[in-house]
Amino acid sequence: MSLRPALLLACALAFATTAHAAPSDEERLRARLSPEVADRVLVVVRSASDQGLPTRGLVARALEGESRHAPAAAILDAVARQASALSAARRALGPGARDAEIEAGAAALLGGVPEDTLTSLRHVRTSGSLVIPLVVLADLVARGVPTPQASETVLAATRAGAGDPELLRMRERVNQRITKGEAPPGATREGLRELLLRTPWEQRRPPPGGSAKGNSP
Amino acid sequence: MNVPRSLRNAGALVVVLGLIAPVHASDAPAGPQWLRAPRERGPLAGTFAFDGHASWGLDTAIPLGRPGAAGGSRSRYALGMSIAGRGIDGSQDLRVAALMDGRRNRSGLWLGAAGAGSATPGGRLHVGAGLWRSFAPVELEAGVVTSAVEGRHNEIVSWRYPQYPDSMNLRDTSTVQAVGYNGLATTAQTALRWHRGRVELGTIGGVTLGEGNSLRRWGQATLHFRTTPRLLVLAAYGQRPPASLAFDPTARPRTMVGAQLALWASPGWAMAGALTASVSDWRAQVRDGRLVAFVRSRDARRVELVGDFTDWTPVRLTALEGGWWTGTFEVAPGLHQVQVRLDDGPWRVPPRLPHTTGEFAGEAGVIVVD
Repeated sequence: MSLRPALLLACALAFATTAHAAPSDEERLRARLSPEVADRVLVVVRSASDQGLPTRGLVARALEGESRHAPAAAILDAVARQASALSAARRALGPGARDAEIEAGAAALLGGVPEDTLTSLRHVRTSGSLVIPLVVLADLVARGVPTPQASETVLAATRAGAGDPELLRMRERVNQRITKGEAPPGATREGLRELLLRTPWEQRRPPPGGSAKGNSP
Repeated sequence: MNVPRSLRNAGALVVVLGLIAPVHASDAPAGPQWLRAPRERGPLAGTFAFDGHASWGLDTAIPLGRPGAAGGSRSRYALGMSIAGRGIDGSQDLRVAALMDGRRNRSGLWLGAAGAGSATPGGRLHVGAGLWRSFAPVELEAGVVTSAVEGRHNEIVSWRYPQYPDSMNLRDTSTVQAVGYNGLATTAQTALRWHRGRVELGTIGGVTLGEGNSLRRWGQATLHFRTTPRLLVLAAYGQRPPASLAFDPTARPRTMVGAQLALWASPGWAMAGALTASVSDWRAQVRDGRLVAFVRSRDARRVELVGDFTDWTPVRLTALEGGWWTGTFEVAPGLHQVQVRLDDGPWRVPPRLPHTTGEFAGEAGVIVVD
């Protein structure tokens, strides 16, 4: 057997094995949803795929709705909202955004964060991943921090050069304060103040347009 | 020493059982039976016992704080109240008690005050405090009770007067009078208990320091057997002083048999929201594209996990030692959402994970897999 047919055969076998091991999105949807709902969800999924958006979250959202016994209309609404948020997140984060960033951005948008916050974050952290800043942002909003303050806090921390571990530590401290009964806005202000006090000046990121020195993660 | 040999043997048996019993995920809530009982059997219970005399008791507990806010290892509080007496009409040996019970997953403390009727020996007012710590399946408890006691004791009164007028010979006269007194007595006690499933074996002993520095040692062995969620069979051998009985509605001063009946043992009771099993820790590791999740909940009987990587189908976790539960899942790189559930309770975010607003069932925790 020549090399090319052997390679083709190997690829075909690998594809067949993978396809057998993990059922496709369509198979999973059809196994759990009624044919009509599955068809309509698949239309949204294919449309998102054609736009280059990650579709894993869309399928998961539909399956979650089925697991929670949500009515078909609620499932379709949720999937449509998720697709719209994914599209908006990609628009705000730029065409080079990675799938995980788009998913995290969509979660933040669905939590009520405005698109321009995502764009600002991209401008502040141009080269590193925005997944953790976006996760922290969505977490603060979910815990009751007003959206403008949550956005300002994550932007200020990122602008100050805080890396992912520092942002996660700030989130943890804010969470501890809220759990102890402190009001979310006050807890967030204190969390940011502690982060800024602990971040050395030499690590702080210059404002956009300044020198390129910084601590990109 | 008043503690009988058989009682000391019972204490040794509890220690031995504690040492040989395999430590694994506990299927019973921690804490002394008399404090955790409301959690297991509902808000109100009646106790009936016979120790030579018929006796009865009623006790209740009211959760304090926000129902359902028992996440993590935060403290939970309850106000317990009890009334107990002897005889059918309850006129003898009547005692009432109120106590604050604060607990974490494996430890707790209580503060209480109790009063007794005038016919009750051993003190009319008791103020006590105690703490406990669980080393499943063994528990240690210690407490101190100070009692305001009143009683009567015989006092010799003597005086002298001249036997005859103008005589230096004095006549010595002594009389014995019953004299009432008020004072304080302090009782220090420790308890060692072993419980597994429906059975709890325990020993409790201590000393009571009373008026005139009189020291009394005492001890009692106990057996509790839960036959149904509503019925607890009680037995005790040995003696306990009134100060030690003041806050425990199931306790009796002498060797006894009895039963405690709870009519409203239902999982929907208000206490369930405040004193439900909680998740105290969460760990996750990613190995070869598989997420190994660890959830810690000592008090849960069943732990389930859902996430987008399970297609939101609940997966039951496997119990490990030390209250840990685990499961392994295939995960793709990216952002994932996860929730856990204890004993068919509400879905909740595992501790320490970032939250994200959920679409269908509240908030979910976020995991980032590189």
